[in-house]
Amino acid sequence: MTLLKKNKNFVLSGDQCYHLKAQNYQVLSSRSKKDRFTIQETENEFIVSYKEKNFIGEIADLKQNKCTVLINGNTYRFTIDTEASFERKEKLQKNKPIKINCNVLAPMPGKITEVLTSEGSFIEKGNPLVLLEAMKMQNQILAAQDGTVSKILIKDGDSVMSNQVLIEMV
Amino acid sequence: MIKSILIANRGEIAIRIARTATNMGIMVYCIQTNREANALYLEYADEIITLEENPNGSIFLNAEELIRIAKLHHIEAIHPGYGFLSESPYLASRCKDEGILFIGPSEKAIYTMGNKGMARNIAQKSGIPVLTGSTSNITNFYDAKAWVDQIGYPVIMKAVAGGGGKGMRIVRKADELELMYKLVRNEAKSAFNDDSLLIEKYIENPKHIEIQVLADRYGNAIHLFERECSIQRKHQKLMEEAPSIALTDEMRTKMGEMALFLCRKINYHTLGTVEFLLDEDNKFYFLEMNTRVQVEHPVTEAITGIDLIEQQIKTAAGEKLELQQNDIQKKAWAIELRINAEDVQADFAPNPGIIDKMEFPECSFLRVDTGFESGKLIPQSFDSLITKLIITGENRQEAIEHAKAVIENTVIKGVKTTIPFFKQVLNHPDFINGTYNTSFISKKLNKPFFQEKEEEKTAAIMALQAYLNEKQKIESNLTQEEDSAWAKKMRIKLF
Repeated sequence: MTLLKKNKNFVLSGDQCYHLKAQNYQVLSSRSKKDRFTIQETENEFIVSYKEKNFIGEIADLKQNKCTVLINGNTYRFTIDTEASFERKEKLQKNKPIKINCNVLAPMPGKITEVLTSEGSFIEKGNPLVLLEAMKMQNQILAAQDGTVSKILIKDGDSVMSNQVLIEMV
Repeated sequence: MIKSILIANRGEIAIRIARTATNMGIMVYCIQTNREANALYLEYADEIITLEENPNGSIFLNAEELIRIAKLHHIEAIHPGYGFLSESPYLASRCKDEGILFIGPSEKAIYTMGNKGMARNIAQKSGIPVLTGSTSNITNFYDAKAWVDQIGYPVIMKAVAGGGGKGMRIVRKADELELMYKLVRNEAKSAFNDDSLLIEKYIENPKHIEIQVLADRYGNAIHLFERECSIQRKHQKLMEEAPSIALTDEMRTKMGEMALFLCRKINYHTLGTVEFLLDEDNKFYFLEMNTRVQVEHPVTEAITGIDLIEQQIKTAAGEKLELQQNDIQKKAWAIELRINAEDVQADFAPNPGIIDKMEFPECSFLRVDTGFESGKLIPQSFDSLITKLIITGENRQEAIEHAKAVIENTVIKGVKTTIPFFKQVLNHPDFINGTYNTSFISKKLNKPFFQEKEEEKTAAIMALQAYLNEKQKIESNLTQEEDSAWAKKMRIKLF
């Protein structure tokens, strides 16, 4: 357990990476005038004033070091690391051959209309794998990357939850 | 006039119908299902009929069950709304058999216009230009392939029984054909319980313009101008306006007349919509006819001041149409925004859930047709439309400004909605100048949602602060606890 009373640099990785400083459990504003911001907290909202605009946001989810923020109806997901651990991770990723977990998850709750692949097939990125019906629409679940289907965990007609693993790929 | 009506629908349209029916002094019956037992629409009913949902399909798709309920409770009429059985000739014919008034046209008109092949033939005979396409129902892949070979790519595949934009896909290349065929067939089966298809030549970048018609049983028919519905994704309309900036008065009159030719040709009565595609050379083609009330009917109501549901019920009940073509005037410009429970950042994926908070501004130029309110659950088993915002202005520019103000002051929490999308569209030059067409979302929007500059960075600041708050809570608890000897030693080492 690291105590965070002291100064610390953080990296928040979302669509982009943001380097932010904190002291005594408070995010520190930048020293430069044009990059300065203020942060206020109400019961369930944050108000950040930045570049002459007010942004009102709320925390949709915070689990360990993953945080989802909602602003203006948009969601932003971040992984929060200290600068040291971020660099360590980067280094590890560089040295290791990338082996990303490429299981196919259900993006939304629904019902499987059809499985379009079979175990053992080689799949190219973008190939349709499963048809999932949600709110009366047929949604194609596409392969996020090349790989081989190692196991199919669902069958036609199954009801699935959001983020349920549908297909295991290697 | 009828004294009781069964609304065979749910959500905002059930409420919309209930409002007018109540104003007309008609007793309103709604159906409560266990998929949506606390739905808002039930609060608008005079009588609620509770049914166990059959796991094999929705009650709203079960004509026999609807007839049984209507007879059991001595209800005089059934209003099907849109979607579900609204374009089912079977329900219309069963109603007729049992002496129940179906709020819609005749079984024959529904059947003819519901079959897109037949509809095209009749439209052509009425003098309306049509696109080349298959002339019989396609029920297997080999027929589909044969037609496509004859018509040539790109083509559009549609569920013959389709409507509401479901069961429709464009095919541009031979290697996509089989998969697209499957997708459309499955959607057709699940949404309309009929998997036969139709294939037509696809025109690139058309505008979608539709004419609202209203007719009685005695041959009187009028049109209530057009609606433009070119803001679509996956062939589903998201935003509509009336009138359309693309039409000259001459074109408006011509399309209106064509729509009425078609109505007269099939002895159409009650409310209907004749849909057209307008190509880049301002030539129009028959698309289809919808024989029901449409989701976007309020924009027409907003510009003409006419209650279309009232007219629909009256003409269905056999009253003579009192309105004449000259009575119909354009008094305003109106825009409808469909608030869907969808994640625009994830390609409009459905986002069902509980609405924590839902608030709209109160102003004279806003009409809210909602099926939900704060605290209500949006079920996964129905479509994603939750609310329609209908905004008017004296002219198009004012309507757009009003729409922006409404969106700015609308709060919906708990589920993601199409609001960030509307912010983006309302500020886009192609929408503002009116040159947009149905490929607007895929071709013109670099991202389908509005984002303030630096929005992600401020989100990062909030995320870190929330994280630090959480850490502080945990760590202050830790230090308060009796430290073990080992922890004490470690703490000394660390600091």
